[in-house]
Amino acid sequence: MVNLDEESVLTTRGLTLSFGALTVTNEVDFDLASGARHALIGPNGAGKTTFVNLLTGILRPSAGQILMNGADITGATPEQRVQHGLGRTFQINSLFRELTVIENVAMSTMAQQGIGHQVFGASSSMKGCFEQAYEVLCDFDLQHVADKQIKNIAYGEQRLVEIAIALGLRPKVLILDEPAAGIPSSESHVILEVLRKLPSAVSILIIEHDMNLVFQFASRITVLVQGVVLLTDTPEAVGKDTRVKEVYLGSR
Amino acid sequence: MEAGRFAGTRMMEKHNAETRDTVLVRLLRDRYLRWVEGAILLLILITYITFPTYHTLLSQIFIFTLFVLSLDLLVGYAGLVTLGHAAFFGVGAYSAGLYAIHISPEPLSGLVVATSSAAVVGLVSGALILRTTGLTFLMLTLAVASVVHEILNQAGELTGGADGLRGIEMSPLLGIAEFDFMGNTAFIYSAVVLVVGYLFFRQVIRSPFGRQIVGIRENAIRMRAIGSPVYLRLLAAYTISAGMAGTAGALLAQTNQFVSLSVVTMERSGEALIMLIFGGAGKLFGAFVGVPLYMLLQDLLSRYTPIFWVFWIGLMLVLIVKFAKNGVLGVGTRLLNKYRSRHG
Repeated sequence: MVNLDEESVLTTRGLTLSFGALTVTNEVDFDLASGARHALIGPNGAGKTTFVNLLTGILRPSAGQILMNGADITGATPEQRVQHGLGRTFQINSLFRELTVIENVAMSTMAQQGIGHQVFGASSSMKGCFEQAYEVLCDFDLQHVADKQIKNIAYGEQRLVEIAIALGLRPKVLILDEPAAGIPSSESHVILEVLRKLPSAVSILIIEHDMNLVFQFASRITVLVQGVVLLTDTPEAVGKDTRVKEVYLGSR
Repeated sequence: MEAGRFAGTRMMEKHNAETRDTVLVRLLRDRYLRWVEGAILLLILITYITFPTYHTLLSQIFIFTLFVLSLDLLVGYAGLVTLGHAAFFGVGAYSAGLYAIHISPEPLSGLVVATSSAAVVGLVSGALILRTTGLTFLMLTLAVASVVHEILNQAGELTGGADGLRGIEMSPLLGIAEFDFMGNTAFIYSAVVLVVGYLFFRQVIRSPFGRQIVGIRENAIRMRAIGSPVYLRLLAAYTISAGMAGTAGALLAQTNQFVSLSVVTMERSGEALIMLIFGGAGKLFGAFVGVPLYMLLQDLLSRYTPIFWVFWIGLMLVLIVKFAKNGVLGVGTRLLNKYRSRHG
């Protein structure tokens, strides 16, 4: 499945995670191309979230390798992976609820600027970070709620802040863990609009249950079943694949 | 730079730098800050003039305010609830006392030594216990305080054990101001150190570091996910806070010229926590409200209901925790916001 035409920014080789006899991720070879819009789908329990946790460093694999731009990050901590340019969002909102929207995003712009340890003489660079955060908010059309606390804005807006925080890191690779989770499918187009406006230079891996959104957004889809990659192909090919239909609808 | 920008046209074409700046100024400005600070300073000056016989009590209030301020950095800002903060207060107090007796009676160098010792104890103990969270962390803070208490108790030849540390004599402050019987020098000394401590505290919590600490309080998992070294940040906060608590302890030792084991008890830690909750944790001026309020209440209640005063303090604590989230300051802010939204 390695596409030789495109440069791969995030690669796994033989990635495996076992808990005793149970293998949750089974020798996954995965390539995220530069600038990709790549979706990871699969039925419940396929191991999608586990795969994300392996990529972001929350879980350590039993075997295999993870490479980012050629550098081996298999043993890197989550923090080190962020330094490599790996950003992520969470399936369940993971925000700073008592803080304002702009403070939420500034949290990541400050981390990105590497000023998080500074106590003295950082007021101008901090102002710069708030400016950056404000610009990210404008891109998400959230500037009108910039000084509202997270707990006081609508769920859909919170969902956007979730992505805005990750984008404040200026990631090279962005992993979106079910960005439309909790949003009625009739309104997921709002999320889709935002996703389409994300910078093309950012390579995106999206995990999503809303197939409508997946097929409209992704240019490449990987199907994961029971920890094994079933196939990786274009949305058209995946849509026609009989094995995928079997997995989702059951064989008849 | 470009990787973080949106590729397509910006959603807000009409949006320009000017409105952005206005909004940012609005978001980052500190309403009333200068006024409140000025008022507090004025109040300190007024009490100096109007209550000349209370200077000793007032300097105690300043010392505890500094102590509670240091506690607020952990409890209010970093979200680390501790019941062992008196350990650092005690280390500061005993260091200052021992320094004055054995090395030099000069107060300012004593203050520096005591602050550093407490910070070192904070760094070492923090490095061990900050690997845990929640209830385990809380228990370990108690354990550290007990260990410090017992060391000071057992090292009787040095510390005086249960009898306390006697024989502290201070040389005049800056070589000019004797520590007088009326507590005038003590008042000015502790007031100035409190103001300096507050300015430092304000700088810390408004810096990027301070904001990241609050981020950890709100969501440590997300902080890790945006690449912030949570453990190191908390350890730095713990060390800073321990140092500040040590400064307060040193002030107590130097102005009272006596240190007893009561400075390292769990009661001391708990009392500081209550003062903080009274005033409002995680608020810049929580300590400045909570400490005087608590000490005033304690004074009044123990005078009118000498046997029952702890009951009333307890009852008030329950009511504040139940109904007045963020203490007196929290209630004040909410009323102010309500008033403003009603009257434009």
